[in-house]
Amino acid sequence: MAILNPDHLFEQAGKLISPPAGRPRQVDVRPAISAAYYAIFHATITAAVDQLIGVTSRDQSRYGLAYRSVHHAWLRDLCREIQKSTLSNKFKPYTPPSGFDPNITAFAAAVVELQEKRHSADYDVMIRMNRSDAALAIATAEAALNRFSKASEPQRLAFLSLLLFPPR
Amino acid sequence: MLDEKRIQKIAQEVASSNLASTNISSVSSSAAIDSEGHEALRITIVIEAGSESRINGDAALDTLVGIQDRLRSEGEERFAIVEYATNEELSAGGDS
Repeated sequence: MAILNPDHLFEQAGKLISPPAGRPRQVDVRPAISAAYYAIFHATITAAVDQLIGVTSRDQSRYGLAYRSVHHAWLRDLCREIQKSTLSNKFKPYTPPSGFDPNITAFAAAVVELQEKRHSADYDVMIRMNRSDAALAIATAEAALNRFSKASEPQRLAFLSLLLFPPR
Repeated sequence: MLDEKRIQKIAQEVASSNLASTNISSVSSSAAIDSEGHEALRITIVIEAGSESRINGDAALDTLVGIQDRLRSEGEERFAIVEYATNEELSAGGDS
């Protein structure tokens, strides 16, 4: 098992936008933004699958199976949903009684934003990606993961359960 | 759908309150299309060169959340992509 360490992805992103001289190139700024998103993506899935399969079973094939079950699009849609002031009925039975707290909703906002930036960084040649934006994307992703870890366990478990088991 | 002036005012207010230690040169907004093909907004916060290192992640995250919350509360349904740039970056060309 080779789970990507989010700290390593943040470190990689930081290096990419800090060339020894001059401004970083587009081929470095863009993967830096991608790395910031992937840090949050992998950290979130790891948290979810550690809960379901167990951290001591990371070397088991069922761990990999659960890990691969999460798609970017579902993560985005879930994060959009929980930012709504009124959740859809199909989500309500699985959310905390008073809804998701600001730590989780801020985390969710960052996920959607960073996923959008990652998409632009990877595919959109019509826009120019900037070093300062990449630096703040990295900082935002780090802060979002901190907010997620600050949320109470019931809040985190509610989010992670929805991530692994989309309601129907 | 809010007009550009109102969007910029909201973004400017939220950015100024969260990024107090940073000099914000200007805030602009433009129509964009998101990765799913939906109408979106691109909000650019122009900061002074080098000041990105003085903005911590919590401030950047609060700015993002604040702008999106305010826009939603005023009825704006388009997704807001919030980005940062310096004037030098905006006027730069080429591959560096």
